[in-house]
Amino acid sequence: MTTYLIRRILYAIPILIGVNLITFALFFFVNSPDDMARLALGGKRVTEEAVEKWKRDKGYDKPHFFNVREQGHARFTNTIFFTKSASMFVFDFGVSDDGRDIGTEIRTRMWPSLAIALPTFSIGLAFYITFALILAFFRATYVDVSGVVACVVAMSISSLFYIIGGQYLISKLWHLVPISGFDYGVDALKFLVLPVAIGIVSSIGANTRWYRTIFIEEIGKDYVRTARAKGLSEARILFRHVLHNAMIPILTGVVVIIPSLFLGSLIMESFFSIPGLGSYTIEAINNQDYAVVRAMVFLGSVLYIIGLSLTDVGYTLVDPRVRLS
Amino acid sequence: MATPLLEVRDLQTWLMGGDVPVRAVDGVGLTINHGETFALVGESGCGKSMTALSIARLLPENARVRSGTVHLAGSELLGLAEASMREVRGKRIGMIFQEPGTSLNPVLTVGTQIGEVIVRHTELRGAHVRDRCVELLDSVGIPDAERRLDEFPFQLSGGLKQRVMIAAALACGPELLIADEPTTALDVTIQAQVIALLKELQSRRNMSILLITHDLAVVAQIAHKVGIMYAGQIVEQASRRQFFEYPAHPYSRKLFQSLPRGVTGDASLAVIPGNVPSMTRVFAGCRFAERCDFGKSDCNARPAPWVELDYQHKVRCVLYAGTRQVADVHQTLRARQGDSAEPHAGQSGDGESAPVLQVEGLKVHFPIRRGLFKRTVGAVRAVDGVTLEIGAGECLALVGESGCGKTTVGKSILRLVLPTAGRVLLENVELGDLSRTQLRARRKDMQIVFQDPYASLNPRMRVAELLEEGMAALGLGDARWRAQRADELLSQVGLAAEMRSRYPHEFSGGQRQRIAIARALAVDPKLLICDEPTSALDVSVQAQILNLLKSLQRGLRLSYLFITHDFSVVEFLAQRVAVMYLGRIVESGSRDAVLNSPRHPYTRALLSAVPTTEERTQRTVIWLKGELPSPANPPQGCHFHPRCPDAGDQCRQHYPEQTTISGEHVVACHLYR
Amino acid sequence: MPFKPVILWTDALLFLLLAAAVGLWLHMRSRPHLLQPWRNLVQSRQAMGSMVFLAFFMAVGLLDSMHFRLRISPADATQESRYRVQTLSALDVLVGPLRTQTEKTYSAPLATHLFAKETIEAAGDGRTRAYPRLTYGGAHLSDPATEWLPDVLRLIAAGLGLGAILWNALALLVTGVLARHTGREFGQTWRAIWQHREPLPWRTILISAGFIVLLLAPMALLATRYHVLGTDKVGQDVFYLTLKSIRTGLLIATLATLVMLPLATALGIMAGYFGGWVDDAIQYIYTTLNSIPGVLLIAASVLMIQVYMATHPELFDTIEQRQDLRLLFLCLILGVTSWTGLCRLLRGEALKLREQEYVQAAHAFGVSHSRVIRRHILPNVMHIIVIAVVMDFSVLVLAEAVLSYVGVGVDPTMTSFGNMINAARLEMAREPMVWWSLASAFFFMLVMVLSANLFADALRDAFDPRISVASRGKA
Repeated sequence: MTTYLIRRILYAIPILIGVNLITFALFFFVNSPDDMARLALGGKRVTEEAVEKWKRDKGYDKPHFFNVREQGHARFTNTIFFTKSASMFVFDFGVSDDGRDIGTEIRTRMWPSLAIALPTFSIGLAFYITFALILAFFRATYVDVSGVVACVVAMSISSLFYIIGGQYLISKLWHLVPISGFDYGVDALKFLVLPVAIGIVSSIGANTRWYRTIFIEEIGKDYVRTARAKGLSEARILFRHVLHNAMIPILTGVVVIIPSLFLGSLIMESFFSIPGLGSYTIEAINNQDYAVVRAMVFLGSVLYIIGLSLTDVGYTLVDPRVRLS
Repeated sequence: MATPLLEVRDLQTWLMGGDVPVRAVDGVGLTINHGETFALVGESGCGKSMTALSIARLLPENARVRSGTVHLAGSELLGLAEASMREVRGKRIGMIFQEPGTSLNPVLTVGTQIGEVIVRHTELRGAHVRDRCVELLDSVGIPDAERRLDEFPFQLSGGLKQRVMIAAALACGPELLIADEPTTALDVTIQAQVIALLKELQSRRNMSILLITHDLAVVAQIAHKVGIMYAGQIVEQASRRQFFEYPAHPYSRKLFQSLPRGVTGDASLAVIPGNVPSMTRVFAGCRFAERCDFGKSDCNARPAPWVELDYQHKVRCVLYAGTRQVADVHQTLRARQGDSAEPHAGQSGDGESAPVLQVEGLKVHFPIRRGLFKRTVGAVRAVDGVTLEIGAGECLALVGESGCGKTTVGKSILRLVLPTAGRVLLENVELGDLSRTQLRARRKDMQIVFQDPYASLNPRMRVAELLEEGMAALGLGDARWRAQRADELLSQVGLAAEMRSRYPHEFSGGQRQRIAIARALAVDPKLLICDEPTSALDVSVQAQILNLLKSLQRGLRLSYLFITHDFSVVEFLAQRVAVMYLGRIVESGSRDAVLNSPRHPYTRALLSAVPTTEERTQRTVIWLKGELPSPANPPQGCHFHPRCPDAGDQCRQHYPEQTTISGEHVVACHLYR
Repeated sequence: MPFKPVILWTDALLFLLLAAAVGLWLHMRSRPHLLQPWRNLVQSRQAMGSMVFLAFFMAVGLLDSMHFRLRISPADATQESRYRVQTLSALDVLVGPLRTQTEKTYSAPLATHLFAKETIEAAGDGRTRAYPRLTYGGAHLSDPATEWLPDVLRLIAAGLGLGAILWNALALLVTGVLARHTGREFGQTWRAIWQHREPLPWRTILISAGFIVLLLAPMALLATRYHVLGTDKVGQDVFYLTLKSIRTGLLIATLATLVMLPLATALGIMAGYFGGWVDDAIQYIYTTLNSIPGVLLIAASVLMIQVYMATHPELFDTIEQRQDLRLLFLCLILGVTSWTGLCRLLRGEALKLREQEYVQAAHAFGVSHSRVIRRHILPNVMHIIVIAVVMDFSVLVLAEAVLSYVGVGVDPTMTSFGNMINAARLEMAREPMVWWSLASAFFFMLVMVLSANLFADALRDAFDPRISVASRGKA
């Protein structure tokens, strides 16, 4: 297990370097810092001095990879790549345009994100699997057929409409919960109910259908026939035999996103004014705050890679073939 | 007489879903008494498995029982509520299936899977269940039962998995065991073990068995009664003895005649013309009429009547109507048919000639990588020093169980897998020394025919494209010449030239294998490597392919490397035999020498385990303990010693040198030093 | 020439795609095994029903992709022809007045008055605050209070009548052609269609077409006098905007796939077929790309494109060209972020196919790698590619809306479902609510995505090899 984890970490390094290079290229090669400065300062009639000042303030007044004016290792360290990109490996994200430390911001903002994303994820998963099991139990009856049709219709509706519709009905028409906002502690609950509920409902169609397909595929396998030949009840076959085997493909798609829950959901958080990482990202995009976007991209891939490793750990939990060999 | 244990009457099961229903089971009736084994025999697609599933009501969702009754000890099963049926399954009827690998749940332990039957049907709980499981594993001959209970199916070999299946099926002492091709997926030696186990369990528990199989040899060993099924119906029922002495139905007789065992030299095998009729059809007359050598004009018009030939021996054939003298009919049948196959003209030229293929010290090792940096920590020694030689027009059979490396030998000769060491000389040219282009030119001289005719033809290419691909790749002739050659090839393998523009899915398994052979022949090879070309086919189709291969060998002076696990095929086709065990050849020699006086204990065990259709008289089965060890970690000394009945101290320490018994008969065993 | 054709980048690609589809069909026509799954598909009611709706959307999208600039009528014949700056599409010309008849600001569907009160100079007693009449919507009514309802009902009735006539004509035409084709009597064919005994599900096709005709004909008639779906903040007709949005959604859904298809196919097959270091390298590329959360990668790329386009205004002359360029970039980026899924699928499949005996047999003949890939691997993964393309369609249409909301979608000035929703959302707090833009976008998007999903489902059923394996099955 330890060797395995070490290998995972070693494997992650080239990927993170790749991610870093991609973002670096995207942010500094497609457009030169001069271009960005001009745009940020507005229009074309910007003086050279203003551009230089902007670059200096942001730390963009350096060569990309190699600084000929410096001595020793500073030739490499006093560059845009080192100060802006390589520093992210030690989770030093620098400061945003409004002068705040991005690292601190991330640490405070990830909790509201998690408060929305975690319940949405876990309650949602339970819901989808239950619905899918029900459909699989009634497979090839009208319950199943109408369920699948409902799923297809549900997944054909943009998530934006779920949010708009939910806010309109629950908050505006019925005044059950506040339309948006956030608070810490127990008070958070009344702000969380609606986004979590909408989050779950909006992806019910696609997920239920997907899990149902997995279950139906498992039900067709030989060992299910063996279980029937033993005289086991349909419910026991479904829960004891099918569910356990179906967990293997389900895990593949599910576990990998768990770490990314920290990032929150862009749309949810911005619609409901939740001060999480999702709305942070959206604000950064709208304000064209490149430092924040870069930080989030890097953080996102780190979490994804952690997710990949967790998936493998998850396999060892549900699949004895992986655990024991 | 008491009520029979199982009585099935006029069972009809249809498969829905297509435009027309498939009448998979069309009026089957059978009776099984207490303590009796009934073998339901037939080729693939005849409806035998559907019959078994209908009885246990485990049909796939698109299948329906249309009519009929199934009585188990007097009580009707088909009308039972599903909940009551569950009480029957597992408790009164146990079932085992063909593929032990997929029939066990991969994520549950052996103990759980056996235990849940016990918990479902008995009052036993907790530690008692576990005790019972241990008992059961012991009774099916699984050593170290206590430990095995906590293992998962993937940790067990195929034979052990099937034993676990049997243990689970027998957990609640069922009155009837339905075994659907229980040995088909297993190796010969393991097959013998499982059959013996079933036989022993049956006599100990006085249980009845409904055995579904395609293998007459298995029937010969275990059945009390036999039912032959053809196209959804039973066409003949008899006791084993009656059946093997006087198979009455023309179809039954053909099945026997198409078995390659005992047919050597220039004789060819009897074949059944045509194909199994489509089961979507509604039949007016006898279903076998159009393929029958004795078909009369009214066979197609009226259903064949059941004729009682003897006590418990009845046949559905009009030939026997009016007479009760089986022997009489047999006389006429034999006279009209010339019974055993006609001898072939010409003599296979076994003259001493330069070998087409020489293989020396061939090794194929697959590295095993582990650890942090995926270092190579060992190797799977799939092929570990194989030496063999094939002369022009000669057939060498390479025989061994699955996993012994015989297929890898074939592929590495063709360099589809690169050998780790050793030399392969094709007509005295070392293939390993050739450049890519030179090798490509040599590929014309050696070709391969694979096992699975469904996987070996690209479903997206027409027959003509398939045949011409090789010629085009090797730059033979122009397009017109190739098209003409494709037509020739088709007629050479017994197919019509019009079939050139069809796609593989329009052909039956046997026809596909003919196409695969034609494709290999397209470039006029000198050596054909046949990798189990008949093991996926039914007996009657196998006979057609074997006949074809034999006549090609004679007509074209082809050399074969015939890779197989089936000794009866060896007898028919090969001039020389090499027996392989765990990557090495343990015995080789002329066919008669190896088959008639086998020396290596492994060869002897293999030969004794081959089930035969003859009533067993003197031969005793030599039991092999355990199963094939992993080629990644072969045993010290002689690879075979852990399973060898005659192993001595020396065997545990050194791998034996080759010993020449006589002429080319060579064996690697300490017993003959 | 009275007009000068303008071929935008996306138009060119769309027509290229169309040509490719036609080419593919011609290629398959002589290969019955390739046609077989398609034949199953066209016989499926679900597929053909949803196809009718998709065909409607595609027709609108194609019409909207034929762009041109009208000529300014020259003062004298000798003068060199000059063309208007504004680029129009065939759709714009077809729906003419919808585009030009803009009101001042919001108005509800079929309204005769604006949605906002304004100070109006009244004839008698100076100024009042009231809802002013619309310039175009219901302008022909002298007294809207009494005439409005009868007028609207009359138009709807006329529309339904027209729709019924059109639909009947279509049904008779289909029956007639079919009858001639099969050499049967007309009545016989008619009954065969309605009793669903035809090989093609004509009844379903006609019913779906009926829905469209009966809905569109009244809307078209109403649109000549009113704003059927109301107007937006700057007074543009919402019906017109909705129709224009269709092209945007369609382009994103198809062009993004077009971008990723060659990449995913080539890399996926190569990784699986060659294995070894090729596989390692390709796997590294897609794991790296995959590890960046999709929205963020798109956001980052779009941000950079924005900057690039802002600093390089010389790349485009007109607003349409700017919108078009950004749309193209968005498709590219969506393609780059979405190829990994298909690539992984194809890699797995190629890995399996590589071990297939027919591939081994080809190797035994010394057939070259490129030929093996072309003849043996590619045809046998085609169904996966087709399924992936169609499945992605609806995902991409939905993604456009979300991305536009986040601010990294199509150009903010471009008409798209996402921009429509985004604009309408800002007015959510308004009392009473401005619901019509939202409702129109919702309805049209739902119909489009739902038909695409239903079609994709039917297609998967027709192509999925697992099902065909089962039907081959053993008895």
